[in-house]
Amino acid sequence: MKRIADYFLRRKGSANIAKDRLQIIIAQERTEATNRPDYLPLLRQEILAVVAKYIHVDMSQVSVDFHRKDNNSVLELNVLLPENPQEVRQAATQEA
Amino acid sequence: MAQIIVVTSGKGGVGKTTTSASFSTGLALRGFKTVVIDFDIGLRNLDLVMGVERRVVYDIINVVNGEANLNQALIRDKAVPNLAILAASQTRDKDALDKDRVQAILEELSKDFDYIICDSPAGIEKGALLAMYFADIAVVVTNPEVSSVRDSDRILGMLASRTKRAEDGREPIREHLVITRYASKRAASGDMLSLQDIQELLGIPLLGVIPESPSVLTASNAGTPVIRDPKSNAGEAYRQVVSTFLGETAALADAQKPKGFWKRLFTSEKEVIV
Repeated sequence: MKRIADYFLRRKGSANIAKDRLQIIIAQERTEATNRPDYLPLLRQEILAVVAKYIHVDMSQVSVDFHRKDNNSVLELNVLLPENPQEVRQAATQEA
Repeated sequence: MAQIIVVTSGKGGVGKTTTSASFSTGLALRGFKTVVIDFDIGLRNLDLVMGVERRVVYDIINVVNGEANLNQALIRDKAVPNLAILAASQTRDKDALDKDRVQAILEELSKDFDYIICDSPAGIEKGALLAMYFADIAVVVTNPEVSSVRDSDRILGMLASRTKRAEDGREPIREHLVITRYASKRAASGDMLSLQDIQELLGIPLLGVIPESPSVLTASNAGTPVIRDPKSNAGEAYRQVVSTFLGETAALADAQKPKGFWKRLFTSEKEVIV
């Protein structure tokens, strides 16, 4: 019955167009928002592991960001190197 | 401990300040010690809507900078005994506020008040994020307009990720929907998103529906929150919002007009949304 009511009540007027459009855009924006952080923490960890092979870096010194503009996606990686990487590297190789 | 409530929306001009003014007044009239803070630094307006613009001596930035203490900056409403207002600064820039300073103010207010209402600025910039950051409860104000609904959904995403509760992994912020400027006739004829549509799209519990009403403008002209107008249907709707918030009544799915013939015939009798 509700569907019949919808058919008669909703097909006229612009509200149903608004609702359909919103449903699509909101769903899209929600998946974008949730897709973003999904693999980023893991990616960050693995990149850190690679960097740490050569230089001692703190987890908090690595940032991974994901931006979307028009049709382009940009993955931005920032690693803040310690002030004296040479020394640290020597320490790391000595350890190995 | 006070409960911190942010009134937010994303989009501007949907009724955040009107809602903040009436909701805080309503809570205070019900006996709760309530303070309402204007977070719109540089564009303060809550003072004007609440009719205390000529009593602002110190604002939130003065408190943050140590130029005044909270007691000096709080404006006690003369007509509503339990209500206090903390004005935004009109001149300084937004960067004067930061998380630590806001937290310090909220903690101090928390000792004396039951509810702290944070009136958020529009947008998703720093001011809006600061207003929501420490919130326990969010009141999301939405118009039956595509732009407003979409922005509200964005704000819901931020409430779920960019707030202290989210960062600490605590129980999420309790979200409530207030629909403003609603015209039930237009919604019934299919010309306006209905509150069921909006609720379905946003998926958060409805606190109340404020009808489009000339009395809202009359009230802000006079500097008296519309909830204090006993004859206004919008005022009545805000009183209903307060009692729903306090858990006394369920939100009415259709706050005003009786349903038309077809709707009565085809939809179920359940009007109450919990």
